[in-house]
Amino acid sequence: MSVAVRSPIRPLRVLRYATVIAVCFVMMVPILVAISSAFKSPQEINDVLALPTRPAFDNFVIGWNQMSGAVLNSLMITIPSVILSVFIGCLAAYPLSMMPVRTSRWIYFFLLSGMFVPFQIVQIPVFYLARFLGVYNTIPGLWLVHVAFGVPVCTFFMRNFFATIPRSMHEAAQIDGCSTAGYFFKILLPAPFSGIAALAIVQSRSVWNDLLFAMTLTNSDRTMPVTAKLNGFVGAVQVQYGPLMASAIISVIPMLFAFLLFQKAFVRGLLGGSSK
Amino acid sequence: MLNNVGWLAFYLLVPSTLGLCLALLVDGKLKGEGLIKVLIFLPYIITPVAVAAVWRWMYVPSGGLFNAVLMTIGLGDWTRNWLGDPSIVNFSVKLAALWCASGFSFLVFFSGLRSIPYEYIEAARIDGASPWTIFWQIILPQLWPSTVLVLGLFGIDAMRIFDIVWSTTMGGPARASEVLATQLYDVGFTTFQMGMASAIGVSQLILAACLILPYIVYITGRVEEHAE
Repeated sequence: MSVAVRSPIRPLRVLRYATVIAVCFVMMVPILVAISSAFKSPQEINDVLALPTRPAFDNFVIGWNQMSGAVLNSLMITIPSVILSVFIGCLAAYPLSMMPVRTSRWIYFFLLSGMFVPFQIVQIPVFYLARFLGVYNTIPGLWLVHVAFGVPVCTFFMRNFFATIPRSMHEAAQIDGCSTAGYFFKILLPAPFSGIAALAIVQSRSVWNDLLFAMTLTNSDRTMPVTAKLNGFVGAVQVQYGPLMASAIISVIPMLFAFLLFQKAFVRGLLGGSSK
Repeated sequence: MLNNVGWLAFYLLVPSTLGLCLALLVDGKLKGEGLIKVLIFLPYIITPVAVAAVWRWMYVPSGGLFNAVLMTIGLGDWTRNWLGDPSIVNFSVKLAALWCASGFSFLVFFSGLRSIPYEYIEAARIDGASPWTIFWQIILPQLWPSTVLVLGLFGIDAMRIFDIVWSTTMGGPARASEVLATQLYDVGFTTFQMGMASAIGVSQLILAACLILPYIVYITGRVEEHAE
């Protein structure tokens, strides 16, 4: 009986493959369009369905000339803010993971509020604050904002990781004469290293992709990250789509590269951080 | 503001359902599953501004992909000015958003499906339950944590939607696709009416709080449950 039920129905399986392939193709269409347009010359670009006859790199040259400074800025913004927010998150998560839940309830409440409140609400206060502090239109100014918004997520995430480390480890370390700081740096931090990596990747994505703060807090090429820069081209009156597609591709390559390299960690971080 | 509600309804229903369908479709022993996962998830990684750039290009009335395809397959009447027509611009932007968002819900549901013990489904099947019953009675309840996560995050995304709307349409044409966040930016940083912009911010906070507070309370409760 059960054998009969389990035997796979062939045509159904073929249909499933066909659907999956179709879905994947549809998902890829915008990316393929972007890539093929980026390789087209201005004469060819209006014929969307045709492939580029001869791959032209001119668009990429233009795109790179426009974007290279912004890519550098984005890196300068993303890397330090991610390191800082993950580190502060770890520091904050440590006592939180040791606390009884009853006491830490309110701290969670505030952390989660910090995670989920729409950024726009603080957009104007942040703008004034940045001008007041003299960090408007500077890269460290963006560090401050991104760290402030990254810390709640990181704390919550790391607390979940630290909570999985057995309490007996702490007791054993204390008996062996390990100080609290020593325990934190020597035992607690190295243990969930994969977790920290996952968190760092997920944080990098959100910092890299941020447009709102980039637009609010920068106004010159010296500090503008890729998102704001690209947005400037997208909204331009006379849009050259070839170079635009090339610029768009350049702006996502670093993140795409990081994602493909650390795919497992990324997925883990995305799920572990928010799902608990 | 009404558009925000529209976005909320859209985000809660469409990408989450699509993600679930995709996850159910891919789950099971398919060859090349890893590649499929990456391909479906990829749009979620891409910077929203870049997404907007590509979709704007596809929506261009003359020479854009959508109209070109429609012309080629003989549906020339269906060609539209996708981003220029106030009556359809919201759908056009949402389609672009759907493209990136379903990757996320797909991934969450997919790993949720993975964590359902296979014995449950097997047992139900032996008892003669139809696939339909299995889905409603076993799979969906087991996926509840994933559903909460997806709906919660999408709800919050809908409240603070900015990037994709701003860089595809800037709220236009004639403010037809405007949401609170783009309106705030417009009022505050184009015309520099900071007081007015702050007022928009406060109303957005109130709107968001109605949705977010229950969610936060729920999650806090879950954290406690988990720890005890």
